[in-house]
Amino acid sequence: MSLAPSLPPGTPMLAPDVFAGRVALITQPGDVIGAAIAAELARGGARIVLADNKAEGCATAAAAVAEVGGSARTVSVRLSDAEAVKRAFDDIERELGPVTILINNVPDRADIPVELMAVDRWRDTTQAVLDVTFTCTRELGLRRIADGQSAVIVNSGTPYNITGGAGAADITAAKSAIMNLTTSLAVEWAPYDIRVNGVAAGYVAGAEAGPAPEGELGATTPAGRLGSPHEIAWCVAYMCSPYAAYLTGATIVVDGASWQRPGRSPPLFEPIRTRYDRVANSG
Amino acid sequence: MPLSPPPPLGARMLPEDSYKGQVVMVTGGGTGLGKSIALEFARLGAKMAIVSRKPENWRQGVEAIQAIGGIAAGASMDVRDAASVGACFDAIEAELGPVDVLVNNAAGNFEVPADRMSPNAWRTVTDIVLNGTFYCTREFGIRRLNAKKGGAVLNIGAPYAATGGPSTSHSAAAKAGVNNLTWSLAVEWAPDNIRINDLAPGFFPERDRSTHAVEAGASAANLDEQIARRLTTIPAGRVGSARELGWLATFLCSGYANFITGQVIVLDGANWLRRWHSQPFENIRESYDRRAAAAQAGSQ
Repeated sequence: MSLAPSLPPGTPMLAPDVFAGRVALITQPGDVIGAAIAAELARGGARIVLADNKAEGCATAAAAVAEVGGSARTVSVRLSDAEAVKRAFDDIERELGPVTILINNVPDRADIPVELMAVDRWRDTTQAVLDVTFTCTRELGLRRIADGQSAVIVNSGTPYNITGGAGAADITAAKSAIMNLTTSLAVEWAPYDIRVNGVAAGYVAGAEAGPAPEGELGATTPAGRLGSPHEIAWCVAYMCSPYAAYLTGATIVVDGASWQRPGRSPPLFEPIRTRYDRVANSG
Repeated sequence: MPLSPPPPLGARMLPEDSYKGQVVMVTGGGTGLGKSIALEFARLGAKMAIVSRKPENWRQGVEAIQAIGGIAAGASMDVRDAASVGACFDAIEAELGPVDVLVNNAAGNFEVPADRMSPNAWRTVTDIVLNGTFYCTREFGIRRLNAKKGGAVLNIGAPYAATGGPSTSHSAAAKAGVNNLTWSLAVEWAPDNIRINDLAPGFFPERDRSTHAVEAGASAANLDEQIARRLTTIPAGRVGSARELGWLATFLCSGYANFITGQVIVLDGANWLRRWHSQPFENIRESYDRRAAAAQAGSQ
């Protein structure tokens, strides 16, 4: 009783040359989703650049790119520092050419109730999520508006944009702000052929953070399972491809309809018909 | 500078044979956007079921699919009549086998300010859009649940379902209902591997649309004028090409989207996200009267 399992990782979706000649920059790629996106874009022929505050944050994604036969350039840069980001773009573009795909990835963080959340944690999260996304996005936009080249940006949203994310108030607020930024920039930059979209991932297998152990989490979702990182990556690949040339301002939630169900934590989700039958039979 | 043009018609996004062995039903699939969406599924190997109220419409769709070497069957269906929906599924499944994917594309809409809208106009549009979507989805869902097989439903929605649709309030209310139905059924049917999403197209002009004249005075004959006028307001700087809808539709109903359900996705070049100051306000009732009068004068 669940949604069908993910297609196996590595199942080809787009043509192997769909991103040929393009440079894709993925920021904060340290989680399983960042690695899967890097691998999927590399599979489509993109040249991959991974950037994080510390170089070791890029290691997993670089290995994932190598596994599909690509090679990734890694950059260590303070991503919330506009001047440092500008210099990093200078270096990358001098070496590889213009960046035309930007993935503003945001690894999840462990849940924490607000009354236990130090102000520093709030500032740290909003900076890591919102400031980094804005800084890198603005730098890319300035460059592509100046040289007239088409580009596409994929941001990291949250399934809890509408319902709130009790237990993860900091990251949910910041990612909701990013979803709003996504819509504003889609309109501002459509005339420059810069598309801005987002993917809001539900819980995926192998993510480091979550409100409960993985085994329990899957059972609490309508889908009956967690997402696979590759399912997020396929959605991102579609958004970056020319087949999505008219898609901008959209954030797609990839979560197996988990957010529509009121209540984010256990008790275990009971399928509607099971409950209906149980209640009907008990009368 | 407009958004980049899409790859050419006939370009295949997903691997060949992605839908081989699957039956895909498109309501209202004989003309316009429904036909274009059906063609993209057919290119990927699906057996297509083209259903519409009028035989001359579904025949057009069947012929278009056969012309590209695809497999298609057609049947008549009035989506407003649950019995007709069931009978049509029976006929299609006898010919092609069980339907794996349902695209609820059939719709009806025309511009009319609410004070001029007859109760019959309201009933007709809501009956086709909201009730018709429910009858088709329910029929499909029951069959898939009984067979213990998953499936995918794609509703064709509208960007104005989220904002309201001044001058098409019947359609806007019905499409908002369809969005909500999408969310409810995504949760109800996820345990049985039936996914349901909604694709909301912006302006995708089609010359062969059977009921194209949404705007007062609009017709297939003056489509170029309509496009020129719309181009001045769309942030994307271009209108959509129907194949772009088809590509997103085939992605959403494919195995690559196995974890995507309950989503409403607007494909409109960010048109619905424009703020008010990017476009002067128009009194809907006055502009309706003006255009209707101009159209009448032009036809005399």
